[in-house]
Amino acid sequence: MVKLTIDEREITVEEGATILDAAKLAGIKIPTLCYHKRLNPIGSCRMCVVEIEGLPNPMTACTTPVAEGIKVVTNSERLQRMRRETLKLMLVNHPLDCPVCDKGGECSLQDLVYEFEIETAEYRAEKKEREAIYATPLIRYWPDRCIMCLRCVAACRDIKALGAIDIVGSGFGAGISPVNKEKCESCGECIKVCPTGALTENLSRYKGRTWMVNRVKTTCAYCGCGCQLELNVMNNRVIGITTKDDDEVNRGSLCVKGRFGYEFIGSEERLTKPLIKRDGKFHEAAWDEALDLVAERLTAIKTAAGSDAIAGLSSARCTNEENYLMQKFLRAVIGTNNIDHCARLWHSSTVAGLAASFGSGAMTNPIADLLKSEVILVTGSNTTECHPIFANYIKEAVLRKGAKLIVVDPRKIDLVDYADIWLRAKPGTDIAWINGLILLIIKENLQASEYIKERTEGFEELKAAVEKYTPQYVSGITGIPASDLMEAARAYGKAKPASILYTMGITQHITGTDAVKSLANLAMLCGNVGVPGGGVNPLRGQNNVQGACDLGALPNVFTGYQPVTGDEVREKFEEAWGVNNLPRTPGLTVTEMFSAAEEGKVKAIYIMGENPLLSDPDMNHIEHCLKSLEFLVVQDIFLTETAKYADVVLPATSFAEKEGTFTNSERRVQRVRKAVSPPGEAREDYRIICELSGRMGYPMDYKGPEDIMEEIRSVTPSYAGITCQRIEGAGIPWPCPDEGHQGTPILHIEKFVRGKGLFFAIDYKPPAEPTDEEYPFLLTTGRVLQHYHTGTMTRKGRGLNMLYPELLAEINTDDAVHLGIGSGEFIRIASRRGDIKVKSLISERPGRGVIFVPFHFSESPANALTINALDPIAKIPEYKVCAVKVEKA
Amino acid sequence: MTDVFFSSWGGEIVDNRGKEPENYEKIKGIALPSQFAGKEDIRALIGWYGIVLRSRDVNIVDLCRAYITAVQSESCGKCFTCRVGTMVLADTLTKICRGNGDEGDIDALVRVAEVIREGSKCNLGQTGPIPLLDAVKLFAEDFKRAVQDKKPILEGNYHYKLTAPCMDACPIHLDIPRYVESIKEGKFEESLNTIVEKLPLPGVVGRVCVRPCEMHCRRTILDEPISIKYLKRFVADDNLKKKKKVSFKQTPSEKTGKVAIIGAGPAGLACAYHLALKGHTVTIYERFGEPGGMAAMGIPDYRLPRNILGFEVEQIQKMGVAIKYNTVVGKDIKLSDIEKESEAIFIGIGAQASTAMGVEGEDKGYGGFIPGIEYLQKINVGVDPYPEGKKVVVVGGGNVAIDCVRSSFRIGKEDVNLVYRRTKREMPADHVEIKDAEEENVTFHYLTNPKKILTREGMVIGVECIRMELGEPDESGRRRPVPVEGSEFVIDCDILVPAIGQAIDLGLLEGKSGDNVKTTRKSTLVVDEFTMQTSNPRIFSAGDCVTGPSALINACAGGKRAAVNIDCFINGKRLEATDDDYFDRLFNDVKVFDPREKIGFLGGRKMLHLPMLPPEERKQTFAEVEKGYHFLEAKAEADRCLRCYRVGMIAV
Repeated sequence: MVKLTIDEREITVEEGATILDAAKLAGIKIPTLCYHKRLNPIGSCRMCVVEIEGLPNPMTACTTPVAEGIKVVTNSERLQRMRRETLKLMLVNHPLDCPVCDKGGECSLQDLVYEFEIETAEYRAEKKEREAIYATPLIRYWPDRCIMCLRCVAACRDIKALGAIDIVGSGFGAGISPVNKEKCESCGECIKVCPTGALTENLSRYKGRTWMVNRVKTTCAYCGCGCQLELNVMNNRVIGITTKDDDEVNRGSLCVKGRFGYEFIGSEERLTKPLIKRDGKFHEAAWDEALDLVAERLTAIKTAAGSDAIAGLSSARCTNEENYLMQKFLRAVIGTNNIDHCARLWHSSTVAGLAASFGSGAMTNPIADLLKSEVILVTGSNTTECHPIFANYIKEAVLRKGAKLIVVDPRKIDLVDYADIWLRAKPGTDIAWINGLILLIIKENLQASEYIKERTEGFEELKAAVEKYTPQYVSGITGIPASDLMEAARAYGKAKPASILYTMGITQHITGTDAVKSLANLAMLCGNVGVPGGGVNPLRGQNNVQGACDLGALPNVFTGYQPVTGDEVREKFEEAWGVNNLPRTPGLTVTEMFSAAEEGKVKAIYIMGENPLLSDPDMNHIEHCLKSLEFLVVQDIFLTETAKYADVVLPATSFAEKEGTFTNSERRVQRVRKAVSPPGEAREDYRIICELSGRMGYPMDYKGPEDIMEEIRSVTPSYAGITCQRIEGAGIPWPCPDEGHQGTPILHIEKFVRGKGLFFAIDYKPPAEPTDEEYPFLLTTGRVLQHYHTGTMTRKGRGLNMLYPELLAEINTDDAVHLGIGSGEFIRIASRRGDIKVKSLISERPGRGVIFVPFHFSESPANALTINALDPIAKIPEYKVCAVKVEKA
Repeated sequence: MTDVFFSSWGGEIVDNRGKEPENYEKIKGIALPSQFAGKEDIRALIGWYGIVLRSRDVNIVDLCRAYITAVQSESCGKCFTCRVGTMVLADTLTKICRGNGDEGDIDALVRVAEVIREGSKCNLGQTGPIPLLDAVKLFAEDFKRAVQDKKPILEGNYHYKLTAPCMDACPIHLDIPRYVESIKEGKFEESLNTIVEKLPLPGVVGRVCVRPCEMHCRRTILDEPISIKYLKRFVADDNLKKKKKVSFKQTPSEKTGKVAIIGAGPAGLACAYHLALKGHTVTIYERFGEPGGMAAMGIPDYRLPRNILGFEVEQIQKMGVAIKYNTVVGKDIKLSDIEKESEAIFIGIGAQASTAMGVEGEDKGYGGFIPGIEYLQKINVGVDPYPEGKKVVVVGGGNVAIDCVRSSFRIGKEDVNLVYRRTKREMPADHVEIKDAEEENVTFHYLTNPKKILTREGMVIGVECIRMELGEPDESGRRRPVPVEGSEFVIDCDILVPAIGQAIDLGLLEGKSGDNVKTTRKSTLVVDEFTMQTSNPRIFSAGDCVTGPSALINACAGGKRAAVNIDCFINGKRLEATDDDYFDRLFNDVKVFDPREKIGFLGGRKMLHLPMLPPEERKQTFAEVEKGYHFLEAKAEADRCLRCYRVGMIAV
């Protein structure tokens, strides 16, 4: 600790703190402009100059570390004169166009000029024209308004670690310019930190002044990061997105989708009225008519073919409250456990695997914990594109905290640029390299022996099982050089603590559950579970996929993973819901439902907010299944590809039009708030279910989502302490057993949820469909940064489509040369199940023999190719590998 | 100097206005040469410490205008006060010089200049307004007249250069503030690119440089210099670790040709690199089986691991430079034959021979008597030069002597002594290395000189020494050591290593009729100090064979300079010194760094030293003694840089 005096007050601060930090701590205000707490000090604006006794020259408080015994003066005549003169210099050639500037009213320069009562722009200089080119079409740069505080440059460098923009030129002619344009992710971090109107959003400028818009804080509707943002509303339209620095998870940052992907809310294509299909055509209908029809048909099918002839798909996009009602509707009203949702397709193997190993199938640690990790192992996760805000933490841990990063991925994803070690494993070979690491760690005696002894079971079996996974053996399967595997084993083995992050690259395999258990083995081996900075962390792909699982939109469990097979559990729910005979056997999974439809066992499906035709594997098969149904209801915000097959389409509301909660990937339950009213006659999903339920003889009478949450709490121990009031300000991670409980950021501290952590002895099995002479390429599918899922939201606005307008299939340079394919040329990719025609993107990202196709595009649906081979436990399809052939189209 | 009529340099005002030249008060603290580039009279100097006026024809207002305009054009744009402030000053001064000024302008000049000086982020802004403030105060009448007369002022002739104390001190003039700032901002690749614009051996120099830059670091005045050397090593290592390609900006000359280089040492490599950048076809003839010259043969691996040198040479080879190993010019191939095939030749053969001690018996070829360079060369190729011996005495006080003693432990010698005729204070070796050697338990015998080699059956068994004391200073300024009569004593040893100096082996030259290369009495080659051309116009030379044994960075600088001139030579351009060269000379007189300067900032942030292996462990092995910076340490160290850019301008 260091003692110093500021303005005659004695202050004690930590060594390394700056004078500005110390002053803040003491509540002494020093004017700043370029300073931003998330950025390394810039020192460009010179507003924070202070005097130090005995030194002739003033120093900037933001860049000067404290020293023992110094006496600092923050406010003197000389300092005020300097600040005034500096401010006047900022106004040199700064256009006083505040009336037409988007930033008018919340501009730091305006505020300071006002504070210092500067009435005229006293100094002039000959004007130098500066070019207004910028790194992304979504942002406009106004060189004249730019005061060159360099916050944008620092944000791009310090937060995103991209360095897409920088200062170019010298002297008065210097300006901000793209220097690595291809690196720009259009995340808008630069706009976020710009203190003036020098950077403005290009989608919505001149749509509303800051004081005319209403800002409603809510949770982002894209990936599972759960970023907090403010919808800027004017005249019942969302015209922009802003953020606050202090918000948890994202701390003011967003990705391109979060910041610019809001246009779908006000899209002309939104569903505004219920649709009923007659003679193969949709006709608009009144709500009563549509609901009556649905109730009548479902009742008829239930009566004729039994409850299990009906199935429902809930939604990872809908709120917790809506998911709760959906599964309640299926179970209590229809009388079936045939309820599932697309988590099946993404992380069901996680839920199954981690539950078996640890007793709970969710992220063990909060993402901010990465800042405490010594080593971060990322595998099967293209984090910068799929979880951009989580990726910010990885970059921060590596670049600002000095953590080591190990990336294991078949593609040279962007994270590889920040990695100390990159293992390019062949798709579908994860268990082999994980076992290889385990063997090496044991051989080097780096395992946490005490931890293993006290907190786990099954270690001897594991030890025996990995014996054959020598580096040479692993190398043969995975293609990873033995020396690299050794380096990774030492890095992970020696780190205390080390964190593991993974997503679909691990889970979407026929051995997905086993691969998840293998990662759990690795983490427990080194004592990394239940400790800050450690953990096994599956990153969830959709805004509320965690919540949809938590709330029982799964065929085998009620809310909070209470099994439907448990008699006591069932009795509890029967009592709470006032029904008898809740179904006692687990229902069908998504993947099984469609096959059952094809076989005629399932006759009706009710889909809320999902687009299985595009999201599920083997599209032609799904199409056939949908056609086999007697009755299909789709409740959505757009007429999706799936909805086109429906008999009744019900217009629902987007996240911006409803109240409720989402649970992010970290198990943090956060608020969703209504900002605009729904278009046309669209209704909140929960209201639709309630009305339908009433028509089927089970009245659901909730005053609103808050009311539903109260019911959820009463039947769900892990959510028992979470009330809407408690999460008004900041979310709470479950389990939260009572209202006095602060939530549980880290799971398995001291003790695993299942008691002892369980090691599984697991053997590697190859993917279901190996390549052969006819189909020599491995296809792997995934996301791109600019789009989300089946594109129902991201493809509905201009912004994101300017950046990524059409599907591109990534193919390795050598393969392209071999096949005679030029970049941007069309290729045909065919599997045993179908074929698609797409534009090629020749790149070094995929390895040789690997093709990567994003699945967002209905015109060239990747899932026309994928295989419906399932993991035997989790029933997750093997999206990540199938054999294809590629030719010039 | 008594022809200067005004000086405010360093804040010491000497004002001879109104005096007759014979009564001029002399100025102290600065020696302003009378000519620039040997042809133009220097009429005034304006720069970081003030103004010096020699000619009364210089218009002070226009001088300020030109100077501030130069400062503005060099402003990096990273802080408001300097970027905008100097523009306002430059515009205002231009307005005044055009005859459009008004009274308020002068006031504004002072106000803005003050805030730039006090408020700027780096030294460019902090020093830029100093001469203007001096001028406005001490030449108030001139400014007033300029504003009142409203007549355009004729623009003078000026030259300027941007420099910094560290850059100026660096023989190859690396843009140190720039590459250090890149590190601070985490742009390590950019930092390396800045270095390799001039220096192809960043990893080597980042380990073994004698760091004149750090001796001139302004931060020393506050606390300690920043570790420029280790930062250079850091970016080189980081690049090596990340296996990234270094991007060399190759800009081929109009005409390219064949150049032969003799010696793959630092001078030859630097020359080859810069010639390759210009697109020339380069062949290096090297007498040993590996590249590096003294960097490989003279510097032990614990200071400079082979793979570092190897990687950097490989990069040069990848640019198309061919190296013919095990080829001794003058023996395996004649210089005249090379001359026939090449448009130009560069000689960079270094100083590979050892100087005699003048001690009885040193020419007898006793077993165990091994000259220092040879001793190191053998060790560096993995051979124990004399396995029979265990007790070593090394004679000398330079870096080679220190390398010899420290290497001795590492090949298993048990008792290692260093004999030096002066005291520790006069030792020319790097003081850091002397300390390292002390920690490793070398026995130092100061004020001692060898007198006679003691032998038995042709083998060294000891050395008779005599005690010395320091007498009057000699021509080098150091006090001359004088023997103390009757103080002889014997140190037992079986290996005696003289390392008192290096000589140049001119065996490759074929005499006057052959190649026309002039040499000195000390066997060094005579070259033009700016162009590195020898008396034979097609032969250039640099490095130790020109300067005598010197620092590695000097050899690199010489090699680069030669390459620039060889390129001109091939393109038929006149070989001459550039303005930059003349500014170097000027700055040498004017002094860019003044250790007496009062900086007035908060100090107390000491240099971050590299962690070292403990002495007992490191003396057993040739593994690198110092561990490099972690990148967070490098960034923190870089953050200490004061960025002392400054502009010096002369009126001619």
